Amino acid sequence: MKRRGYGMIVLLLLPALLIILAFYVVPAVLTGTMSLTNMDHRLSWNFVGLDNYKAMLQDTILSRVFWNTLLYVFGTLLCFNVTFGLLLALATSYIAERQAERTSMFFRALWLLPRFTPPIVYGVIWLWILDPTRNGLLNGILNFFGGRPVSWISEYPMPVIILTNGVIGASFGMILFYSAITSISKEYTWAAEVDGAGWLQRIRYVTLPLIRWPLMFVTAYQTLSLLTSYEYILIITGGGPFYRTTVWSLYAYNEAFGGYYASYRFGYATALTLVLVLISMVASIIYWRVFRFREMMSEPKIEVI
Amino acid sequence: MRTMKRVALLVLLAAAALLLAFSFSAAAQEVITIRAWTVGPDTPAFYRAENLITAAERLNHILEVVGADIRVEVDADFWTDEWDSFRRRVILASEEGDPDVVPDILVSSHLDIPVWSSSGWLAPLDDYVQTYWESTYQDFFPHLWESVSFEGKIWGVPQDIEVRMVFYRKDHLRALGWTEDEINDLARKVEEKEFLLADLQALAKEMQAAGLVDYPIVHRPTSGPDFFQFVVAYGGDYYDPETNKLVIDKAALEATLQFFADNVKDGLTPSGMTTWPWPAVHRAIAEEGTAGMQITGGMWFWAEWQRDFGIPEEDLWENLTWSLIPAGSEKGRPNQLGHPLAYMVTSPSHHKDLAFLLITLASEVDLNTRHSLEAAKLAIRRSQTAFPRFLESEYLAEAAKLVPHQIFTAAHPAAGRYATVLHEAIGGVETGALTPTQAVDLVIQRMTQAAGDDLIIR
Repeated sequence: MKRRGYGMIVLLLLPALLIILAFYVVPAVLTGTMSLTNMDHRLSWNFVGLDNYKAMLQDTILSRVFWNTLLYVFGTLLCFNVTFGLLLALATSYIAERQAERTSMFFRALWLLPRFTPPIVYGVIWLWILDPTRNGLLNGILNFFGGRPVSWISEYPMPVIILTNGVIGASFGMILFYSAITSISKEYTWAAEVDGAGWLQRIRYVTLPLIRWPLMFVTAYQTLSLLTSYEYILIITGGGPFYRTTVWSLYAYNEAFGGYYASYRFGYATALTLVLVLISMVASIIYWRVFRFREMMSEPKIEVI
Repeated sequence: MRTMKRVALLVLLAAAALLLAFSFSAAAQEVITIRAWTVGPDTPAFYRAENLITAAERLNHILEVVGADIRVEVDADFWTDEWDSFRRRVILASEEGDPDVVPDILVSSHLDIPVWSSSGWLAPLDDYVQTYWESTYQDFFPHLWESVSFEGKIWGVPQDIEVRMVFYRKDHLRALGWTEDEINDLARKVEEKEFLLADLQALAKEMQAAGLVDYPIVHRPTSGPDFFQFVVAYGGDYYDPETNKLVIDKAALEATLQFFADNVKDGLTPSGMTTWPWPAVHRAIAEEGTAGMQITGGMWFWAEWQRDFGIPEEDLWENLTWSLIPAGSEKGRPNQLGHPLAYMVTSPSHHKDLAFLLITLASEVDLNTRHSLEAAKLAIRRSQTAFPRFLESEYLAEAAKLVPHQIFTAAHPAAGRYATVLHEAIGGVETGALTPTQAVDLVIQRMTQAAGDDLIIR
């Protein structure tokens, strides 16, 4: 009986295991192996030991890339993905509370639009907004008021990539926070109101403590997601000017494929991505410990009706 | 009744016979498909693909006239995205090596020849060129064959060639008090080293002081071989043909980087020039005149400005003039870089003979001339310069005057990488992230990594 039970478990887990094996374990092993080669455009497996990892220590650009990555990830998180997402959720839930559910839904839908837009279209729209000549939207407005055009991307490169990624990223937090806020039992709000709490006090003492888990989950999840995202940066700034917006994942991409005449350093690029995997794992462990996710995953101590 | 039946039977038999004959002839006529991947990325260069299709039509006409049971079909595409994505596509397909995936013909930069031929992806073309030498290829300008040769073999058929230049806004020169004669004399002064890069900077400052422009000097935002022109202008080299090694000429490279750094420091070039989108650069110089000079211009811009930006040619003549890249120092020389594109035949192709025949037909004087006219490119054949339609183009004739000062990129597998690294260094000094000396060190570090022993540092 017991043996049959195990058999069933294995059978049920098999499809998922096969998928993980084919699409995660095998590529991960290949990537790890590739990082020990000096593979270039000829795709030959010439093993060079740890040379690529040693080369990283001598790469003068890499420290700049590391700090860029930190600034980009936490800048986007703090300004948009968590904070702005939370503000949007609070604002739209406030509107919904005031019997204007449709208006609230309209605003939420509006903020979801960038997420539905194909990345290349979204990038091109931003390129037009930030165009350094008078033809750009912002410079057109400046020009109308008699101002000189500004090279937005070159003068504010990091704010540009934080803003462009954040406008998309904020909607993820908004949706999760909004549903968490609206699922808070009304009794808590009424009790706070009876105690004389204003809107801000209700947020501070009722809402925020009760959406603690979604807040921490979004922070952790979006950190990992931002660590590996580079597509909008690639489209809008290409990582420039001179590496000022090159984040780790984009640097790895550029070492493999980027530029007018790419270096096709697949060995070095895969070594870089493996280090990124390590950074992500360290970040996950820190979040797990600091945010005490074990508590979130554990069974509730009281029975929920 | 019986007669009716016989007639019906006869009709049926005749129909069956016709059907059979038709199907036999259809089966007997072999259709060979030749696949070609061609690249712009400038959109007016679409004849790189179209000429191959026309070549197939002409070949099929001949085959039909002589009653041959074979037809050729060309499946050609034309890439207008960036160079890097085109190269990525070729490289990944070539590594796969599947003849059903790899096209028979490629049209790409001559810069790709050292890398692609040494990877075994291209077929050597010496014997083919010899086959059609008398009828076609003896007519090609001889120096073009050097640009498509590597390690003693020919790997490509020159498809086009162009000149690069500095474009100047004539309206701004007029506003500064230049007479028409002075404007027309500028190209000569540059050629005879009476107008150097320092004079170009002084002119830029005048334009700025007069409030004529937002930025007097702009350049291409993306990487390309253009920046080697400045190394030569400052008296340096980037390639040693004797040893077939790349050269880093520290003094000339530092002078080049200092030139770009100074331009930003003086507010002549935006610090983030390397992040500008291409259309913004084109509009600034050709449409709005918010820039005074485009120092990495190419003659094909003339076609792009008309086709993609809708600027009438008479406006271009009215507002723009050009010259070689001026010398930067007494030791340096005015110059311009040519970047030939070439037809190549891939090694996995099952139809190399046919592919080469199509390339030969697509290189006919009339077909290549229509490409020259549409894409604003120079002639590759002597006969083209006497071809009536070619002679009609005043622009081509004027631009061709820069040809004697042409330089080419190095025939070395790491030459393309060198162009990317040089562009990176320019971005570094323009943003102030690196001093010119630090940028030289970066170039040395990167190129040592890319070229290894194939690098001479002076």
